[in-house]
Amino acid sequence: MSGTAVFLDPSIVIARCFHGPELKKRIEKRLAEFNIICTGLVVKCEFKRRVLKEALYLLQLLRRLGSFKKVQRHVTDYLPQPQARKKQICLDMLETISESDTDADYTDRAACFLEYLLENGLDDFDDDVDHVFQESQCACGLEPVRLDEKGRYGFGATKCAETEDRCGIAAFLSDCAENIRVIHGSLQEITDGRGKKKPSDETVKIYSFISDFMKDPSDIKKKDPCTVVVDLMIALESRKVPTFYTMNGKESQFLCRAISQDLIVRPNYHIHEDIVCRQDDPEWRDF
Amino acid sequence: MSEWTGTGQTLPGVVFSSPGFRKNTAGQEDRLLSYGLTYEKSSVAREVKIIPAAKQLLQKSEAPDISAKRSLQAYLQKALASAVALEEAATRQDPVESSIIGTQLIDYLAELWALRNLKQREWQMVLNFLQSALSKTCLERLSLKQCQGVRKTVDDFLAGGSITRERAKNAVKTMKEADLDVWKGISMPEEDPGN
Repeated sequence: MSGTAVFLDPSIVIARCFHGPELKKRIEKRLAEFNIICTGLVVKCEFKRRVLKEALYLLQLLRRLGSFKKVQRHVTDYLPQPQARKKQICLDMLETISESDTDADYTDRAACFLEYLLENGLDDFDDDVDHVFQESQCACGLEPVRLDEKGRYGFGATKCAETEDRCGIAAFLSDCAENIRVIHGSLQEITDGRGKKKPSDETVKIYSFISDFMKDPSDIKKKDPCTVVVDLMIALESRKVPTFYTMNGKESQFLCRAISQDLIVRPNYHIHEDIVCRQDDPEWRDF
Repeated sequence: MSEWTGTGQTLPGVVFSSPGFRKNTAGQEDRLLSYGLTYEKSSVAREVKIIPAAKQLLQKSEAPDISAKRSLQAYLQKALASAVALEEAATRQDPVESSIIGTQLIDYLAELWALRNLKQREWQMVLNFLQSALSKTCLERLSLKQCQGVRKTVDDFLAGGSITRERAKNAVKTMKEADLDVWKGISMPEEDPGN
């Protein structure tokens, strides 16, 4: 495979499936400009954590409450606001599929969607892109969702520390030592206040993680890098791809600049154009 | 409640099996027939024995209704014919015809959904995805590629016999490649500019 390539971060992967129709069209239009669409195992792990976990939560509620309407009310009443805002799956549109549907139909439709997502979502994740970078050997990203004989779904390890010897993250970080050093230098300027932009809390966390790693790389898995500094891990996974596509530019603006990538940020509202930041632009806007 | 008068007189809608027993409801009579349940005036049931004839009765009532199966086949053929016609309308670039036939197809798919319990879970998922993709769609503006995707999904998958997990994934891939939004049913609605 050869040609122009773009790396998708979790926000774009998820938006391609579950955001509004106009936003999806915007994203597909942008992706059509590239020959090769890539992503990585850490992104896959994030997809599992953010989408499939939510699918499991909703399916368990459906099975327990037995009614789509009850699930809707339950989620509205009992899901705390911060979690509610982070929802990826929206069940509200189910009511638009068929006018003759009853609550039992909605319930069954929701279950169809969620069961398919859990049983095939990770395979579809691979099929929806041209290439998934395996270099990180992220064990959580490699672990499939399993269905036991009682109809229960198992996710396996969800943190680096739970993966025992199966995870290649520590070795991957060693291979990326040079990139990590460059990112560290770039972030040091920003966190010291010498840069023009104010770093986010996440960016400060990344800087702190790298500082610790550079001092002592042993037992890095215990620090759960794929959960704690997931943006850094995804940036490192993407480092060989010239363009990075995301819906969240806060951390990417520093990371992409440091590893010499072009950055494209897709705003939430479909009316707005993508924000394109090229490596040779002297300044990038603040996100 | 219906009572046996003891005079040999029959009451409409009631079947008396043997003397000396008090019948409560016609429904209970059915249950007695099915299970061979010996019943006493004290309402205490004795041992439950499923007699061979009753077993057949049970199996017959659990077996899919033949007429439902025939309905399913009929609606599958109608859905396929509509999907083919939709593709033809898109080829001719006839938006009015696309809308009329598309509406018809959506109705047939709704009938198939009502009969979904006759098919396996993967088939139900594929049907659900197709219905989801066609919901809230401007039928006049369906592209030829989308209509071809619809036709292929109905022809190769829904009307194509049983669907394995692998074939369900292929069906989803077919729809996605035809620019049909399979996840529309659980996607966010149009964004609010305030967000």
